[in-house]
Amino acid sequence: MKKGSILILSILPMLAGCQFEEQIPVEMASISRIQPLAHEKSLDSMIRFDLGSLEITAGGKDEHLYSFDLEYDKASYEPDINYEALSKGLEGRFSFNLRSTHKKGVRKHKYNNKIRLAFNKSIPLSLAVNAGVGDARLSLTGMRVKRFNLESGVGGAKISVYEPNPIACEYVGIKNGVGGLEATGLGNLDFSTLEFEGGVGGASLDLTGEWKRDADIRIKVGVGGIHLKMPREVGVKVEADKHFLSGVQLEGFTQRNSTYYSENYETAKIHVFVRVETGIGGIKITWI
Amino acid sequence: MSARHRPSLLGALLWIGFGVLFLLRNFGIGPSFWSIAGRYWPILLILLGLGKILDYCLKKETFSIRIGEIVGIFILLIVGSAITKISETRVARFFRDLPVEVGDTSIQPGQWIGDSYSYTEEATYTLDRSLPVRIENSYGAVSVAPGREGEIHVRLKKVIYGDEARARQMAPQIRLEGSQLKTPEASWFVIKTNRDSLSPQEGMFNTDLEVMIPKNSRLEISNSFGEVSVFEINGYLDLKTTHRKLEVRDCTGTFNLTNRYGESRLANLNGNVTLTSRGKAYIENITGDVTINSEFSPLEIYHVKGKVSLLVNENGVHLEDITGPVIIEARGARVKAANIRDNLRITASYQSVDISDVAANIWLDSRFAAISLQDIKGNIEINSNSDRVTAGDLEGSFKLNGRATSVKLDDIRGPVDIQTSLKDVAVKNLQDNCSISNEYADISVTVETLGKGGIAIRNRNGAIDLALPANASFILDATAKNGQLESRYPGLEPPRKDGNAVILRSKVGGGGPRVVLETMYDNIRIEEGRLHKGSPDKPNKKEKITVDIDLFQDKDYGLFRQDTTTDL
Repeated sequence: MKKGSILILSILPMLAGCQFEEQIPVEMASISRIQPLAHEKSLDSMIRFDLGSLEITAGGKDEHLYSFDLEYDKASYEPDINYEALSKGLEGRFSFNLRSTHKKGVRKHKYNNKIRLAFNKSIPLSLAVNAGVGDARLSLTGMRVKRFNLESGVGGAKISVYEPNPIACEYVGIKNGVGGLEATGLGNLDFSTLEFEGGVGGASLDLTGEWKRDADIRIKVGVGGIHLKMPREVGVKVEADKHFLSGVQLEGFTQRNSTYYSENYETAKIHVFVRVETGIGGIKITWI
Repeated sequence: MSARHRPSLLGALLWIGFGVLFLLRNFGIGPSFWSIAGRYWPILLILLGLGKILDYCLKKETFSIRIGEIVGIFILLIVGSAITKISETRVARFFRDLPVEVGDTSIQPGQWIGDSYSYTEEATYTLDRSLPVRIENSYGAVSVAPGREGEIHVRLKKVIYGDEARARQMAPQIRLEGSQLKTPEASWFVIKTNRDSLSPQEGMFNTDLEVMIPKNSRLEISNSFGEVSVFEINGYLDLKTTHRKLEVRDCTGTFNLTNRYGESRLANLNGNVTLTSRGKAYIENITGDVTINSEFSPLEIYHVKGKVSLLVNENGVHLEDITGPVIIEARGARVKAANIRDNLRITASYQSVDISDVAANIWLDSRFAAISLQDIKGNIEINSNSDRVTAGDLEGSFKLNGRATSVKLDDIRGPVDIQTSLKDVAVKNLQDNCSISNEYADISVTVETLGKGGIAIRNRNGAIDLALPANASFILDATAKNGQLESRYPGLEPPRKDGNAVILRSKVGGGGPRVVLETMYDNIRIEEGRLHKGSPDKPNKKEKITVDIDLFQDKDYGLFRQDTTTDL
């Protein structure tokens, strides 16, 4: 007891004695912006967010083309926000980039940069997101996604599509970085092509949803491995490369020559062709 | 403890001293403990040494120091130096902002470290009439409690970070402002600080506002990066904050609340509550309707006497003891609902839905979810896609219109109507009528009591197993178009072949409700009492086809493995 008391009494003042380096005053700046919907029939968005939390959701109001709430450390970052309407105002083009101004120092308080973007639910959207260090949470439920690209960096990324995309999505491209990636309900996007490139972090791609047409999926497995979850209604054909340090686990498949077919392949109305290039990590397919 | 080993009073005196210093500081008296400790902490080592000398003088022992003490002091110095060193790096930022949950309270011990100086300023404003009150703040807490009628009393605590000289210089520049604001729509009494007019380069500071207003007041608070707490105020409350806790207790009125990223705690509120939240929310004892839009964070709601409407995006919601009707739209969010006295309507996807003890009807629209329903008094209607549904102890009817949904029911007292595909349906202890259809998966039904409406089970590419109660009276019409028909029920006539089909039509016990069974490409089995696993002709369950290719191992070395199991 006595020793414990001495230990606590001695550590507390030492903690108190810690002298922090000169502190830069932190002034979190907040920007909220709404772009009203004019005559736009489509929107092309490029989002780059180097450090902090990024959230993308469907907007609540039809009269807004997009809106965002941004909070950032004014001393260290600078947002570069551009919007223009092309083709006689029919095509909107929105770009957002939060750039670091490279001022260093210890902050008295730390508030992460945060942005919450909301896109119009009735305008077809081409969305390209480059997330750097930090969490990215892309909730695409309710949006009309025409094209979707994600390049995730160090932090983890979560993609969710809980309801069917009202329009067909031409292309889905996902490049995973160091952090883990979790996607749920990608089948709801109604895509014809999905390309996934794995990084160091593992990835889980849940491809359940309302499938309306056949699709091609090309996967380059990175170091972390990938887990595909397929809905039972879809017939799946898999071609997998054989590499020395990789594993392929397919549940419910039969092999014909070098191709693997799901047991429902002949009877399924929707067919998905999965081409896998394995790296160090393996691939696993299970059924939901 | 013997007198010989009686410890010195030094430790006790130090504890008391620290306690007094902290207590005085909490009342705003005296300098910051940490600023003193930061400079004078080595005195503690000197005091410990003095204690040793005192022990020597009083006990007349030989002056000695044990090896353990030397090692202890040595370790302390190393730890202290390491922490000091770490504090000079970016790692310190992490520890400084690390929140620690103590009970229900989130604290940031790191914020206690370093120099800060507090100054207070108080002001009292007279309200000519009961004007609505608006409080604007950022980087600091706002707390509101009832005070005297006709006045507003404000206590501003300025917490200034940095060295003492700069803090002293800056303190008078931070001012409290209270004035009446007239707009074409309304008049307000506005309380705020002059933060916006101060340059951030002048220093970092927090402004905590403690405000006392007349108990019956309309109140609007707009805060950012700071807590908001309101107690015992009656009126229309419009409260907003970000990043920090929002707490409202023991109030009456209408509540319009927004919290971006921070936790919300609402308790003992009399009136309708609307909350938009992107942080954890805990709500209890509400007399009125509750409407919540919540994203990405857990939501808990208990004891609501009113209607509950929730829009929840991811994470989860848990609600219990709700008197009014409940409507939940949960996208990718777990739902747990118990003790619901009125109707329940849920839209859910991709997560679990756990419902128990509901006194009225349930409507559920779900996809890719795991659904559990227990102890439901009313009727259940489910529109489903690729769910896993388990239900038991149901008083009312059960209707499911789904695809790729598995269903497991037990102890159903009302009629059952199920349409699904691809996944098995298993019903036990059925006590009423039943209509089930499936494709590409099996159906098994155990009947406890035959309902007057009878049983109709149709399957396309799956088996039908049916167990009927002993000594039952019924008319059977069973057809296995391209499969086998096995009957173990006493009193049934043997089946007959008709082309590829096997047909069994029979009246048992003088007839009664109709039992219609029909499969296209699989078998039918009829038993008495309960279903026995397996049959001599067919395994009980289809084996899944599994291909497991282990590419870690090379074919040429004889280690390549490929396992394939197919339907037996």
